[in-house]
Amino acid sequence: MSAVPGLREDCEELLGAFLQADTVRFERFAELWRERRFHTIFYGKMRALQRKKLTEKTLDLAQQYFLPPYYFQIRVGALYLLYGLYNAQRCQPKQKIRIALKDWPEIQRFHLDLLDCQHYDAAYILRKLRLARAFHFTAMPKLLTYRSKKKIEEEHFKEEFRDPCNRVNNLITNDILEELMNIHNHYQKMKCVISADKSQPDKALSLIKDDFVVNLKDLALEHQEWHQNRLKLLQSVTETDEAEDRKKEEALLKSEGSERAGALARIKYRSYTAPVEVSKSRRHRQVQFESSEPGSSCGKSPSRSKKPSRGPQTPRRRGSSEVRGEMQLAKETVTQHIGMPIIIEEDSDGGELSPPKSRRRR
Amino acid sequence: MNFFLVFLPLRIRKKALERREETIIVDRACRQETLTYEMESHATGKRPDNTTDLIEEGELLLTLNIFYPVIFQKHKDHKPYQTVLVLGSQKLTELRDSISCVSDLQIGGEFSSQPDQAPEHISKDHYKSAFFYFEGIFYNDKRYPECRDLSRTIIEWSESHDRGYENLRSVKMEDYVFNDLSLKIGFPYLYCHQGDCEHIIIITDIRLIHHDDCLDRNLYPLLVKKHWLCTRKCFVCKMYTARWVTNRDSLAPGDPCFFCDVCFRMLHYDAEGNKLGEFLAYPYVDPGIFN
Ligand SMILES: [Zn+2]
Ligand SMILES: [Zn+2]
Repeated sequence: MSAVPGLREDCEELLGAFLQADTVRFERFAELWRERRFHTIFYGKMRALQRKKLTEKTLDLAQQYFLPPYYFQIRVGALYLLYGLYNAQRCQPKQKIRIALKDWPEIQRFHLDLLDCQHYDAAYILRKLRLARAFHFTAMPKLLTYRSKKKIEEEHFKEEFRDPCNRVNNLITNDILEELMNIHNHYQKMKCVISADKSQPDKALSLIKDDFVVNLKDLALEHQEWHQNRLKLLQSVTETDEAEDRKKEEALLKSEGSERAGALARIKYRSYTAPVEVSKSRRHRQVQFESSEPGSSCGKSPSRSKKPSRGPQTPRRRGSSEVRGEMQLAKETVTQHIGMPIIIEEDSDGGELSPPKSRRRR
Repeated sequence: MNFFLVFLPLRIRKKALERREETIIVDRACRQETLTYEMESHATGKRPDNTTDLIEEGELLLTLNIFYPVIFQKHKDHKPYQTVLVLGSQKLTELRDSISCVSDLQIGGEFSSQPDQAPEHISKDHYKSAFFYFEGIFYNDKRYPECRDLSRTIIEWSESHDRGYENLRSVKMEDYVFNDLSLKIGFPYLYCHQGDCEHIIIITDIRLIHHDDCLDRNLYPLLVKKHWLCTRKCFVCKMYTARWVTNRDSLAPGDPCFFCDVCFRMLHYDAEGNKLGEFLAYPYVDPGIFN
């Protein structure tokens, strides 16, 4: 896609404003759209062929933000943007939005997430687009075009919209811990059954550490705390310039570019504070995770409220390979460890603590 | 809300449009642009007269780029090609019949003594063999008894030299539809006809048919884009496309020399149709004939 001057900037500005608004309501998006008179994006003297190309490129651009790895909120914004652009376009018949075969399951999952979180406006818009036959179901995300080498340019999408992934949290999710806990309980029971004393397993059967799951959870909590401290630190570093003694720290953290890091930090912080719903199927055996660390306040247990929330809820992924593990382990008391060393990506010490490679679903 | 913000948005896109306004002197669709658009969209939304020809939901639509075999220096960066849409349920032979190439229309032989005989011998009628090559398999057109297996030499060559293409097979083109094939998008395949006229074929897209597409089965394979080749004009009238080319022509200013049919006959024959002067005349088919 060769760049249409200004197009990307304008779309990103709108999505950025939507992100700032901290909501996923269509109402708010529509306001932002109108404030910007965004429908005029297709205006200007254009002939049929050019109009078609421009529309194609615009939809293509918006579509990219509709798919992972962007924030849930950005993805909802992109959905509204697609809806707006699709209807505002002046092509006859309308240009379609390309959806690749590989992306379709992701979109269906997204749709279920919307329903689960009761973001009915967004779900409605998605349904509207489908009913309007706005999609082309394609084998590949893009129509291949061939150009001579020199004209090909890299595309840069806005990093700030990207959903930051925390690898540790991705691996150790609520689901996983629940599953482990269940398996462990089951295992314990089995051992009891085959033991002489039915109330307690034989010593000979004691092959793994009993507090394995608790330990794992503690480690994950610790990691999360460290991670958040680091983010807070980043934030404070970028927001205040008085602290001379932090300069060193800053230099260390600056590797990614402090501005971007600051923006990311703010966003990350927000995504951790978003409430998480527990899927109905699992509610009956939900495990309450509490910090067992002495002296610290308890971790928040996941919100169970089913009331439609006004805030941008980040839904829990089901079955997707990128299970995002917002574990909601956020701690209230965060101490500013300024002198804390920056260690990249902790390794779990015990061999038996290595997180499971595959997740079982039932 | 910042008061300024209201006026900021869309400024960049608007600025770009204004810049365009300033730099463009004549803002009028050129002939080529109009034709390109015409061609792309002429069949959109068409429905068949007969309901049995209606394409059903779930049909696959393939976009194919078929390249011309011409390799001119000026086409170094932009290889000329035509784009056709085919349906997954269509036979390979349907695509083969729809590919227009000058070498099919080439007329062999020198006709200076009997120019009226010429147009009856077209290569397509003479040499009917052709094949597609997709993923290790040659699909030979064997619909007519005089069709030869053009791929045999290639397969024999590869086998005798142990070239590392072990599993080359050849089958009948007319037995296969596109849905039968397993294809790579973006991979260069081959269409070969007239013995050695080779066209690269690239599949650029596969998607489900859409309500707004042309749903008349009879209109597929559907040509949606073609390269405009410049035509050679008659040296005399400078108006019509050349139909004849002459060599060693005592009446011509150069060698070779191109003529339209009318000018060729007026110059080279008397009222009774007798040949004047010395020359060799060959029917000429211009690559731009399909424009
Ligand atoms: Zn050819
Ligand atoms: Zn002439």
